[in-house]
Amino acid sequence: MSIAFLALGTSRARAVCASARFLVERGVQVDLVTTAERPWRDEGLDERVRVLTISTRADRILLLNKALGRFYKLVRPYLMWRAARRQALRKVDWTAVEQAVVGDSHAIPIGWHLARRHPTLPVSFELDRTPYLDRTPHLDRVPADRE
Amino acid sequence: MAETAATGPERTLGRLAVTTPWHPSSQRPFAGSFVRASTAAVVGRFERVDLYQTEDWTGPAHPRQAALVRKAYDALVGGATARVRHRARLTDEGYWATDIPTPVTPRRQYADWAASHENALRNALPSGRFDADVVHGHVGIYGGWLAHRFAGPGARVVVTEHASFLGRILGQPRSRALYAEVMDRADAFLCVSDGLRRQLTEAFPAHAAKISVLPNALDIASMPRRPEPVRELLRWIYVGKATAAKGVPELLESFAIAAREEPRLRLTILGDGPLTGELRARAERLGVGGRVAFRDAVPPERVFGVLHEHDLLVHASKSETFGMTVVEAVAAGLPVLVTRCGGPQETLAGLDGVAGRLVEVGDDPKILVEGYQELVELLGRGALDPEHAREVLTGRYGAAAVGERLAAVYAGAGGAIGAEAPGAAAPDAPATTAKERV
Repeated sequence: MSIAFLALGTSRARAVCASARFLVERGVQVDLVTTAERPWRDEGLDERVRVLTISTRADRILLLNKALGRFYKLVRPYLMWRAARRQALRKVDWTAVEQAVVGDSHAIPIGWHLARRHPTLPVSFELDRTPYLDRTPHLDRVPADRE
Repeated sequence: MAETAATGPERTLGRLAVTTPWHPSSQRPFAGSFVRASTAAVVGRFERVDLYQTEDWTGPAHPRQAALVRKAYDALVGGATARVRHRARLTDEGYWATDIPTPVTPRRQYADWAASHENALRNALPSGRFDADVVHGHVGIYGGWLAHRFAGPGARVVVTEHASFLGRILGQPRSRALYAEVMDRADAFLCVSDGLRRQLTEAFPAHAAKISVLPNALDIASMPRRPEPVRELLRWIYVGKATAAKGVPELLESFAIAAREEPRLRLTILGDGPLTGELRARAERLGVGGRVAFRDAVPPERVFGVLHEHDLLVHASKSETFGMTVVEAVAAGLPVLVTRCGGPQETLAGLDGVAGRLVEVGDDPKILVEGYQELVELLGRGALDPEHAREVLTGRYGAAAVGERLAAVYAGAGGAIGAEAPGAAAPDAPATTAKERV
């Protein structure tokens, strides 16, 4: 079983990092779908969290061009969803995901697409910690595949 | 856990709903602790207290992208097919809190933000209204606006204004129009400082009778005293952001002057900011680089430990609506040297020369230096009385005292300071108060 966080930027990094740490300390697998890994590690995201990055080539080219960028911004949310689906979301076994947590405003459209694709997937804006409260935290535990 | 003003038998005020944009959350664990303290101070007086926090989630600035975020958000949380359900959690203080993410754009249009908060809260209220006898909104825009929009027709509406950015809100015509509606609906309008009360009274003179001052409740009882009394004023500390508005450059200049006379003086600047680098360089140029420590901000529960390692809190701010740090320092038994920048002359009224020294706001570093010299003299002859100062502040801002007065406002019986008729009903106010109904 796992938990998936969706957060394109780090504006709410404190909340996401704290929830992710709470889970990995209790042996829960955590995935974070975002646009870049480095800023999250700088914010203190636990090393045990798997980061799945999404990007579009258009981001690298068109956002730098003022004229084309204005048009591109109109279609960017849709392209980001396509990129997320192709690059990141397919790597997640959604049948094993207990909660999908939308972690920032920019990720809300992806959360909505995801909810439509997986009608029984629990979606929230904040981790529901209740199911994990009775698990003893292992503060120094590192998963076997990372040792 | 905050002390509560009353527990048990006095649950006579029915149900209370509190709406606020600021309250401690997983992302902002230190935000709005004063809302938590004020709510905790009255929790025992109500059958049930529900707090709704609409928290800004800043998203894209582009209008089309922002519209997509809003549409997706509405689809996730709204209607019978909603996929996200807001859940209330029981806080340690004994009230129920619901955190409601509120997508907003980074554009500073308070009326638009108020509309976003209204939309988000609507989705979180099953009946479309607050099921409460009293609705308390914190900050005119947004909490006050939400109280106005979602209070039942018979509910008593109380609004507290805390915002240091009130001038900007009133400076935007659309926001000011919303604010006027809030004013019309509110039965009592509370300001946490007299400066804010004057600002609102000037903007809405017709409502002056219901605008009054009621400070935030502070959990002073749980603020630890310094283990040893201060004997010398050698270790200065400033707590807050390193910004020009806080007067940190003037503080540094003053310290450098005072340090020439007293080689044992040290200064800690606790909290970074845009001027940190510049201040470090300036300290070096002034020859006090080795005597000024720049430290990152610490969580509130660790602030007192740091205060206890120092002898004097110095705040040279240009403007403050309240000045929480000053109150915390006095509660901790630390003398304070602060400017008359608004809030501090209210919080320390009658305590100049007892809790510390108040000095004029100004760019001249000698102002603070002279204040410091006077403080040294006061301490030397035993004139400072930190224990008495703490007692005065407890009577003024302690949870029990403020809770008592807040409960009186909720019940329509006054309790605040400065209005001709605190809690007087607005022209369109309900005919009965919560107390009368219960």
